[in-house]
Amino acid sequence: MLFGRQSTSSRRVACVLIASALACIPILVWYVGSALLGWAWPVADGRFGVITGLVGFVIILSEILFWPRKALLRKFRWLGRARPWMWCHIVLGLVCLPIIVLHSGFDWGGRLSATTMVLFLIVIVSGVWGLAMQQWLPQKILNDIPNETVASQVEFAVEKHIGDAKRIRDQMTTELGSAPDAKLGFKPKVIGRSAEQLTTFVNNLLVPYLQHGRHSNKLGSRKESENLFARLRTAIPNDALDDLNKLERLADIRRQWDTHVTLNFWLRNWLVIHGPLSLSMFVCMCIHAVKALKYW
Amino acid sequence: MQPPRSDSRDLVDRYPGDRRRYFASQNWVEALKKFFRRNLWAIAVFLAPLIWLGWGFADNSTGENDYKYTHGPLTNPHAAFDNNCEACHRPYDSGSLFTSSPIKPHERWLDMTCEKCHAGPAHHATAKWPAGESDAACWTCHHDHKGRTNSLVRIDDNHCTKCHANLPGSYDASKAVGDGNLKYAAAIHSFADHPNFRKLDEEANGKGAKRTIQFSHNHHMTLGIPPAPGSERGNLTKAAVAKLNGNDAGVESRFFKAGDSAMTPVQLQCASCHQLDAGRVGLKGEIASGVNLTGEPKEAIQPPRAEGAYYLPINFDAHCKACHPLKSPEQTTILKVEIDPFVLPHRKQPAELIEYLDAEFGRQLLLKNAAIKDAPAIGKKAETIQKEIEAARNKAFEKLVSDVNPRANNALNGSTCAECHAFNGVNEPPAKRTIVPVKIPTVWFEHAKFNHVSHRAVNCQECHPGTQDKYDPTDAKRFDADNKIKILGVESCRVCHAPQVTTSGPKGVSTTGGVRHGCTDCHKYHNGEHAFQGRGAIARDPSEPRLSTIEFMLGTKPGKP
Repeated sequence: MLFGRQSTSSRRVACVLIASALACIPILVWYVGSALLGWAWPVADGRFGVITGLVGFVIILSEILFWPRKALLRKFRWLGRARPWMWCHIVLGLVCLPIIVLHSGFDWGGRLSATTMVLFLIVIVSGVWGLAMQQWLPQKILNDIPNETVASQVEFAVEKHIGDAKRIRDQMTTELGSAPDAKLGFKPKVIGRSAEQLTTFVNNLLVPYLQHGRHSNKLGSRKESENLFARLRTAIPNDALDDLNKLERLADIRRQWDTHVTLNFWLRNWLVIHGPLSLSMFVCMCIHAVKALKYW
Repeated sequence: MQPPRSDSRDLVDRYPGDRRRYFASQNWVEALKKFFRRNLWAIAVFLAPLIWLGWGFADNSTGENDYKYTHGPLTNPHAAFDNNCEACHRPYDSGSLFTSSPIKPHERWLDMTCEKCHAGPAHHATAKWPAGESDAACWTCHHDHKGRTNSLVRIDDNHCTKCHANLPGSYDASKAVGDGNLKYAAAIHSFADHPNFRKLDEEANGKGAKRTIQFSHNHHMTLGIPPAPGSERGNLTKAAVAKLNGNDAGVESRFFKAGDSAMTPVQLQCASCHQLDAGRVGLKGEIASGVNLTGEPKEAIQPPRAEGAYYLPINFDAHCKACHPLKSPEQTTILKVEIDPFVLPHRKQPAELIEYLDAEFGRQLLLKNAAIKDAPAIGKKAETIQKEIEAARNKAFEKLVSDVNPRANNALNGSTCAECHAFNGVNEPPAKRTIVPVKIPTVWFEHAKFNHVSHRAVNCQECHPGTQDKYDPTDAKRFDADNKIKILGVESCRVCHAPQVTTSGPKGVSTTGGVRHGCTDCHKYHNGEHAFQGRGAIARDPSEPRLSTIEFMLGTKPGKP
């Protein structure tokens, strides 16, 4: 979800950071007031502490409801669109930060409350991080990767490209009748030592690169790739250059997809932290609430 | 017109099942496997903190878990309730969620049942509590869960001074019994500005109690207890004491060492008379002072106080009789019969003494003169005998109740009542006089506690001046002053009971103070003004309903199983 009405990704990221900073202001004000001006430190088990704890509990509960909402929304349309839910999830999450920190009274407490607090902070930081990534990376993908595909399908999509590369190689170098689907009367465009070089290049560099990605060989580097293809161009006749350009294009697409996979990883990796730790934190929070109200 | 059918639609139609479940597994086992396979990292991240937390709960190597649901260990007297919260706290049930405020969860835990065991009376009915009625709750002053050695009764001064620093503001005169006037110091912030003892203030204002017994501490503390000038007797020696007590070895051992000669003068110590009770009142009536009170109401006279905080009351039989035997006058003759001196009972008023004298004189006459024994009980002779006995009795009685003669050999020939006691009705005939009751308080500070045993390292005179001064027998004021309490003021306490101060001077470094000086070091509440009863004494009154053991265990109220 895009945060703010800004047109550029950098401004949207700035909006996220400013909103997060605003959420921290009450914490800083109270801390400075207590440390330097003699204000009363917030106490977790006082009236204020219990109220903030209960409010924080309700907010976090509503935040957690965002998860089952995804499953229920398909059946219960009256639950509304995802966008307002996401908006509430973000805003309430940021509002919850000062409430819970003030509830803690700037004290970690015992193992349970400390664990709950650490998980809460990790969840908030990962959420803010994820939100910032969501503002920036989709735009970058759109700009930098014109041949975007579904990131999880890259491994399947490259199979087709490998087949294309082999077919182009055969078309350029194989003599009549040697290829199963060769047409009668076809003459290879590249012959002799050039053909060997081209075949070696495709078999040893291009196909492994398409198969395994950027870390497999030199084609992962745009500069190296351009050098290699430039040298090949000097070795083959002019009428074969179009086919060679197609091969270079396949390598380029693979390079874009590599970048896409990387960006997609950063776009979504925070969810591996944010989601499970939210649930862990919620479990800890429930135990903490019961323990605090029953035993403290 | 129908739009042209797309190629992808043809591809989709090849799948005959529910297309929304195309990616779903066909059975739940496969679905579960698929879920775990795809979400392995997420599951690991979810479980990691919970496993760490659970391991922390299971591992109690640091002992942290022992106090997971409590603020700390209970004090030693409550140690038996470590695992039984409901011994003190009211039980928590689901109903408490609605009856107690979730905003103030502490209040529920502070709803305690101390009175089940500690039934001390409420603290100051006239108090106007600064923070409301909750200030009157036990937990306001007594804090447990602060460690085994924490004292629940030695509380911080703040608990007292929150009211006593400005007592008029915390005093509700409408609840007072009597005239409603405040009878305590208006502002006390600490022991440093504690007012002087009330008894001494009353004495200074001329409202002190008048001494009802004639006694000179200085005289008795002088070697040999010398007689007044011109007296017939000399110093009181071991031989004299032995003669007075019929060579009673027990009495001699109280005042003399084994090797002392017969002419060794007696030297009394404070402890010769002022004795702490060791609580050794045996079944046969013997007490620590060595006096057998068999037949006497000994527990009423000397109730056991084994703590040693207060001295036993001075008792004639235990402390005076050895040197001041109460005997009938010597050389009494009735109808030519020599009457042997005999021991008179103590604690008798003159009228009772007359009956005793009559009886003893009559008994000896009958024993020693057969003619009188055989005489008729009615008739002129009987009347004559009776008149003779009354005349002798009156003579003896006059002597007993007459003013003391300082030159008399009292200690050797028997004391008189007036030597020590004052009489009511001094202008009345002797038989109509009554002895003024001796009201020496055993506890002088009724609103504080003082433990003499704790102060045994301090010389008596440091707190009780004028008890061992040089004795001048010619001084007309040789007896202790009538209304002088021989106790120093509160300043003498502050010499030690104050914050420690170290000063350096020409003679080196000296340190004063440093001994505890909190309110509760001297004052105890909840029936504390009754020094010998102790806390919660009222609850031990048989007329009060009490908890049976089973009621206590079940946490119920008396009479309600």
